[in-house]
Amino acid sequence: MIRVKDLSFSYTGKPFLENISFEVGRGEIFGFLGPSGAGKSTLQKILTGLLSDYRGSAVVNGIEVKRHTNSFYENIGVDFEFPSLYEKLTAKQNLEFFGLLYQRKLITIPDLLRMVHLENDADKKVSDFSKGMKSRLNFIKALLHNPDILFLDEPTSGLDPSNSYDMKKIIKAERDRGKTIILTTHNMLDATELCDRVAFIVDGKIKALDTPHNLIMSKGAAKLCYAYFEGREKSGECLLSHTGSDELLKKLISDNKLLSIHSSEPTLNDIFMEITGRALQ
Amino acid sequence: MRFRGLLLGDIRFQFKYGFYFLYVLLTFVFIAVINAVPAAFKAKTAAVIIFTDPATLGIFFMGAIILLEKSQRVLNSLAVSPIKIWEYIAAKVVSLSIISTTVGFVLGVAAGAGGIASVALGTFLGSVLFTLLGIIIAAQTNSLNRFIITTVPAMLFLMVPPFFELFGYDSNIFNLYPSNIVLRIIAGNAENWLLEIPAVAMWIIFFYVIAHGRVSKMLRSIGGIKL
Ligand SMILES: Nc1ncnc2c1ncn2[C@@H]1O[C@H](COP(=O)(O)OP(=O)(O)OP(=O)(O)O)[C@@H](O)[C@H]1O
Ligand SMILES: [Mg+2]
Repeated sequence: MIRVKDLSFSYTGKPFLENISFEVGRGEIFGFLGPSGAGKSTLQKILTGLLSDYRGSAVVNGIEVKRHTNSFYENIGVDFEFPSLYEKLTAKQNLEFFGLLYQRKLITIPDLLRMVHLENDADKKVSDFSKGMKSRLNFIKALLHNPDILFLDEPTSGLDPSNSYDMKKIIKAERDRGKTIILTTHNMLDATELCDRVAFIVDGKIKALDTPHNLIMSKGAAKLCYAYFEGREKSGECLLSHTGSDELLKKLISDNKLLSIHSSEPTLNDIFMEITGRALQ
Repeated sequence: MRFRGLLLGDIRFQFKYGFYFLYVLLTFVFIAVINAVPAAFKAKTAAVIIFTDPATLGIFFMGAIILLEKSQRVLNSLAVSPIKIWEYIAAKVVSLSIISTTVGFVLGVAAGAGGIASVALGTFLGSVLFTLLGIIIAAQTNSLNRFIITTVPAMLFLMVPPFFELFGYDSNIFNLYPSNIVLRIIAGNAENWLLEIPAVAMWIIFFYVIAHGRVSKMLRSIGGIKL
């Protein structure tokens, strides 16, 4: 559905995005993960046709993006980083208005509102919405015309845990329905949980691209951490694969001296730091 | 479908922001003014009021509307929807000309103007021209200050010559000047229809072509590139 090859782009003449290549298939959630200013939103703007003077190729739904016509947008849903709604209209009126711009069969407005628990706020003006409510409305606006490709820029930012959980459930359900989803985020927990594959983007370049699982397994191995008392509380650690050769650990176990013990897998955040030398959040 | 959607959207937007309320109020004020002047001057007074207000309101309303759309980032949503540029422009032009033409018509009737059809036509043409001009200016501005700074000289250029003509200073240079034709039609002074109507049409096409380019640039610059 999306094929990007040797893509480069610059806002200023100074190279910014460089040699980006990747492909995303049907029914896949693909994550852009990277620190602030890395170029995630820029890449999304290119793929949604908002920046057209790029070099290389970006094909979305069979169309080279810089040569898109207006019907290109019938099949694309975009959830921007910031609310893009009529403040003086109600939630329902906003959805009605945007719905009229598409020829495709729409998802009904009550269904959409119910999905994100806004059914009781349908007739409230957007200007009276909280930040999280605006984010949820902005999100369902992207789903309104039931597009095959979704671009979601930080969809869960500003949501409470329960709404964030529900939104992630919706995103996965859309994927299972065969949609192609590009998810931009700096939340590595969301990325691990949602994405089939992620691209680490730093300073306009892709530094790694794989499934979250492979990225985690390829680098740091799982570790065992334990604590014990020896004059004061001390801690030790060893690789899970080498527990048998940790003499101290064996002795602590046989003497029943362990205060705590747990295994810890590296998180995507650890891997990100290891590969890019930079923190994600 | 899409055009109808945009048009209804614009009408609703203008209603919510009180444009309709404002114009009902202003219409009463204008009628009071027209009633206050001696009968001999009623028609001319009405023509001046219609020309300086309903016929040209588009320019300022357009500024307000587009700047609001920019500040609420609605333009981002529109830029990734299947709308065509002509649909966006036409919806704005038609929605504002409905208000203008209605007010022009009502004031014309109140003044007992002879050719009421001519008053309405002149108001409509003026509204289209000035709304397009408002789009041209607002599409390339991001602040109200900048908009006003650009609009004032544009208004002077367009508003001054017609008044010279209305008050008897005749100069052939301005025969086919767009605002002169508009005021002439509103005031019932148009005689050379076969020349004037095509001339206004040409001006409208000319303004439209520029507006089209500006809106296209505006939608593309949402990505952040200064064009
Ligand atoms: N319109 C613009 N003109 C010039 N430079 C820009 C423009 N928009 C963004 N940039 C620059 O491009 C870089 C990447 O911005 P971008 O919005 O793509 O980052 P991001 O990865 O989405 O960050 P965040 O996680 O904060 O959203 C930044 O250095 C930013 O200053
Ligand atoms: Mg961003």
